[in-house]
Amino acid sequence: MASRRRKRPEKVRRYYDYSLLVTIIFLCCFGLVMIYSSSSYIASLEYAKSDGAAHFMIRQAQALVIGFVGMIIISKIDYHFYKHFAVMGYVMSVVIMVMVNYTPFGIERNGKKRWFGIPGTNTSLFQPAELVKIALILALACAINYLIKWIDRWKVIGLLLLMVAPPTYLVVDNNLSSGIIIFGIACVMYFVASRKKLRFAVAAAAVAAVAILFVEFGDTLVSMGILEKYQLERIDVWKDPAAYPLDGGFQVLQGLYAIGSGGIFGKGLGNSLQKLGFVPEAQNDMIFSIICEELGLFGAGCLILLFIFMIWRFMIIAQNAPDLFGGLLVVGIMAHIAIQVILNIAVVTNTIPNTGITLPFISYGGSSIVFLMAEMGLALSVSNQITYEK
Amino acid sequence: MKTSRKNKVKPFYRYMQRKLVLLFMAGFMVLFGLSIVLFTIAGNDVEYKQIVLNQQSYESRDIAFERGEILDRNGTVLAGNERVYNLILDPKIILSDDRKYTETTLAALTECYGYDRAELQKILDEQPGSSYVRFEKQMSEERKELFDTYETEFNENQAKTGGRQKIVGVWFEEEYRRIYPYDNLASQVIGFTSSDGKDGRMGLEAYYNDVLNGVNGREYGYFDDDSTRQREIEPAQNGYTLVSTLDVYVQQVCQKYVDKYVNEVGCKDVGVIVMNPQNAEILAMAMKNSYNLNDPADMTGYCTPEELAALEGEEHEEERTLKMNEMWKNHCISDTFEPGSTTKTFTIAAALEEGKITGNEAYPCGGSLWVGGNEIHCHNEQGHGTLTVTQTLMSSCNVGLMYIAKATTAEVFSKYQEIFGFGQLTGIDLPGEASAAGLLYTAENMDPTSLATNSFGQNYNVTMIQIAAAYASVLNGGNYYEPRLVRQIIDENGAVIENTSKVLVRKTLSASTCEFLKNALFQTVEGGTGRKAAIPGYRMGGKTGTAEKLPREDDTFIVSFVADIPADYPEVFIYVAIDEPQVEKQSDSSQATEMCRNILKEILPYLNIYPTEDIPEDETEAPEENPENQANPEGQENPEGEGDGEEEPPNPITIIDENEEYNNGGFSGQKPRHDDEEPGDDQNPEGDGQNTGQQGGQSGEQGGQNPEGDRQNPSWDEIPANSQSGSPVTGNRTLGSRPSGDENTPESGADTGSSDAEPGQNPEGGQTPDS
Repeated sequence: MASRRRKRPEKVRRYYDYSLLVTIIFLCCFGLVMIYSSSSYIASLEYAKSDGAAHFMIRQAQALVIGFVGMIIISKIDYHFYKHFAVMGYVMSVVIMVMVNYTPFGIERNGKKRWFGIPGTNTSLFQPAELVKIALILALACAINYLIKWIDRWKVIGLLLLMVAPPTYLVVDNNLSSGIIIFGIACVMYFVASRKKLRFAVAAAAVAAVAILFVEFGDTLVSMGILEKYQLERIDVWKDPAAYPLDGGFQVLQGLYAIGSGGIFGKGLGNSLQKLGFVPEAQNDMIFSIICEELGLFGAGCLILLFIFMIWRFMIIAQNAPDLFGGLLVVGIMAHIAIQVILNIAVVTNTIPNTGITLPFISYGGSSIVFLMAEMGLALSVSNQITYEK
Repeated sequence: MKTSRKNKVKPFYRYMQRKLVLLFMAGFMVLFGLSIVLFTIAGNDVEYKQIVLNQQSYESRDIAFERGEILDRNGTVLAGNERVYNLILDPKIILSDDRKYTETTLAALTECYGYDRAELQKILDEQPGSSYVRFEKQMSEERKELFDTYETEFNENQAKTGGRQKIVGVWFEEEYRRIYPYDNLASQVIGFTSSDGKDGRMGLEAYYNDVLNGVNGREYGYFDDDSTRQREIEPAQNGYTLVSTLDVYVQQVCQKYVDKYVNEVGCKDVGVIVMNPQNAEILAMAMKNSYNLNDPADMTGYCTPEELAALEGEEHEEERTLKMNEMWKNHCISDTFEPGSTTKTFTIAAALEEGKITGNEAYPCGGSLWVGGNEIHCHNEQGHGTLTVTQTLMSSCNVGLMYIAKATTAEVFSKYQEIFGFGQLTGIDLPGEASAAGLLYTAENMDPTSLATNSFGQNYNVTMIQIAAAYASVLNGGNYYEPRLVRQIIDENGAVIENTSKVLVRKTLSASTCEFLKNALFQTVEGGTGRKAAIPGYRMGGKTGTAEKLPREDDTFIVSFVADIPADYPEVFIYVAIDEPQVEKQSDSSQATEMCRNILKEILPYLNIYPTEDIPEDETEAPEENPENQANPEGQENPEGEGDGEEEPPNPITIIDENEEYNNGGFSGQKPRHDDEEPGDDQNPEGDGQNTGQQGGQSGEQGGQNPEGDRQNPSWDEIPANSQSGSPVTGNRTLGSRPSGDENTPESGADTGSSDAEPGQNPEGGQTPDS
């Protein structure tokens, strides 16, 4: 009616969040630079006969190009179109997770069976955990959109939990940190959708209590069989990494040395000492410590600000989203990025026990960056459906 | 409105927006909190920087240099290197993490190398805080790889089974070990290094230690003034390689004959030097003792098992060290001895050079000469008759030499000893050279007797290398070069760093004197005492030497021989000296002559020195079986070589005694027993027992020369040195030739005192080479 009444009163313009796009591009490029800086030494040793020092950077750049093209295409299509893939994506992600966990389609890399690939050929295609993240965000957005009227009913909560449980279980079984992220995304999306607050406060308090219980009474819990021994070890390492310089503590400790030795303005780009074989996975999970070492607190602070800006852009997009589905979609993406950034920095600073989480856009990882760019495409697509009048 | 509701466009509700803001704020706060955490960590930057730097210096490592090689003149490696590894334990790491990996690591070590577990445990218990315990030194590459393979397999297994064990705190340090491919060959010349291969201990290894050693490289990082990291790799500078003048083949040949002689005949010691006289480069230096350079402390080849057993234990530490040093000693440069007749060349050289003689003189030899109250015998007690200067050398006539020395005067003689480098270091590039300076007379304290005995190489000491260097100067036309063992210093790429070319020390003689002497030496081999050394087809010079050792009554000798080929322009010079050959008649210099000849015969073709003369038929037929005959075709006529000039026609060349058995016996009073009793001996049959004429020490035992002997020989005081009798006199043993000067009887000689009797002047006490 309204539209009819207006009869094209003024030109309706479509929005496109260029600030987000620029931020994404900047982060990706910065990521490439840091990957080169942190990995060139190791790469020049290990891949001396092939790509040499640029090995990791080249591969990341290739993935980035694919991801970027995908992102632009996805962002130009109305996100409602993707609704149709929600169920299919959810089912597919669960099936692939099952295949990776329990069939030869799971390919082992660095002793961890986290890759989906073709059995026998040892070619890995992607990490399905990344697929699960995006598929679950899409599926949950659809489901919550559908169930929004009854969202605070316990039945609905149960239903949603039932939906989240299989992929979460499968991912946790494979890789705890990804499982935590997936469950975190689900929690955040539900938190935003729900009108209640108290129950979340209670839940948060309960989680905190369990965490304290684990930390303080780990020994007893192990003897009771609730906690595994290696899990307790991680907690012990977290409490005092210097006591375990060789094992679990090594990575964290070297990361701390890197951050500490960087000082306020760092040693300068490319001047890290810790990347010379001391910080393991310097181009991966621990890349933030190398950034701190080379660019100092200043550089790290800028990066954090950039992430905050990005999250703020997600918030703005979500708030202005044309409908609930689009808003929830962006909330899920925002939750994903925020959780991963927070957890990564928390791990590197030894604020929480060590667990392998990458820093979005910056850390090395081909399949991870492609799925991440797809998510960004979704968020940009939502932004593109925002209309405003001039 | 209604239609839009029917379309169920659910907006992003207000409460959701609020909650989202809440979430954003929460996220912001968390990130802010993390920034504060970061700030506190970075606030610790001094401490952390230190840790990082320390870590870095742990990582920064020495890059071991490679010590330069020692090559022979043709590039054969005499001393090389082998990469080896030291196994380093890091107990601190092994015991870290609640000893989680201690068990695995110890198991790996015991399994790989069969180490005693208790021993390893002891190190861990005693030095838990240490990070560097060198557990095994100098492991070969294969041995090191045992551990690498084990570790790789272990890690793979762990990865497969999901185990969490690993091997920690064991690493390998790289270094080089010195290897000597020829074990014992030229051991005293090459020398060896300390076990870490960085400190040369003997021989060339010690003398050129600084040249051979390089500088360790280092890989390290540091902060410059702007606190930016600098990473530097300072590559190791490898040591320079020595191209020595030695020739492995020549050395092997020399050693072969030395060993053969030591085994078949036996002697106290023996030395062989082969040299190029034109530049004093030493091709070979062989001696009796040798040791395995790869195991220099091993004395099994040097001592008998009984001796070794006696040296066992702590209390014999000192003796063992002494014995070892003796084994390592280079006989050719460190031992001094009385050279004997080989130095007659230099006596003649001095006289000729200074114009004291012209070379045309002739001297009568009556078998002995009275000097300063001592009768000094020629080796041929029958006397040689009258000889020209050349003939005195050919027949090695002591009497003639004494006359020449007298003409030369002590002052000039002494000066020429200095010019020829006696009593001084030759400057050879080896450590431990002896100069024997204290065992020489000076012009001031050289009394006539000393001059007379010095003239034929007794009563003063030299080293073999001094003789060789002095001879080289005579043979090359008067240039005294420092003897050389290294001709070139090159770097690892073969670029020449330094040509250690010949170092001219001084001019010794004029060319004409050298020509005269070269000819005299040639004549000596052609028809003189060196005839046994002659190799058919070659023009060769040579000189025998037989030196009587102290104490004289022991009848012990050092026999020696020098030779040069070709005689006109010598390219190779060889000096053989055998100390106390274990034969009945030690004074027979043919022992040395024969060895010299054998060596030359093998090395001459190799050195591209070929016969220049026709080889007579009979000599080519069986050259090996009967070297005596070959060398001395006239041997049948005088097989024992008695120099009986009495019956023979006055041909000085044919009458020359070819065995120089008596050459020095006369001086110190003791007449050496001649196995083949010469006719002359029965003239003073009771000689040995009658010492009435002389007092004191060795000089008193003038047995053979008792003054009552019916044979009276002249005193050099009476005979003019520059005898103008140019024609040789046969029948020289005319009693009448003894001058009327009766005051020079032994009795009066005793009063004036021979040099022997005066301790202050007499170098004898310290001069026996084996004392």
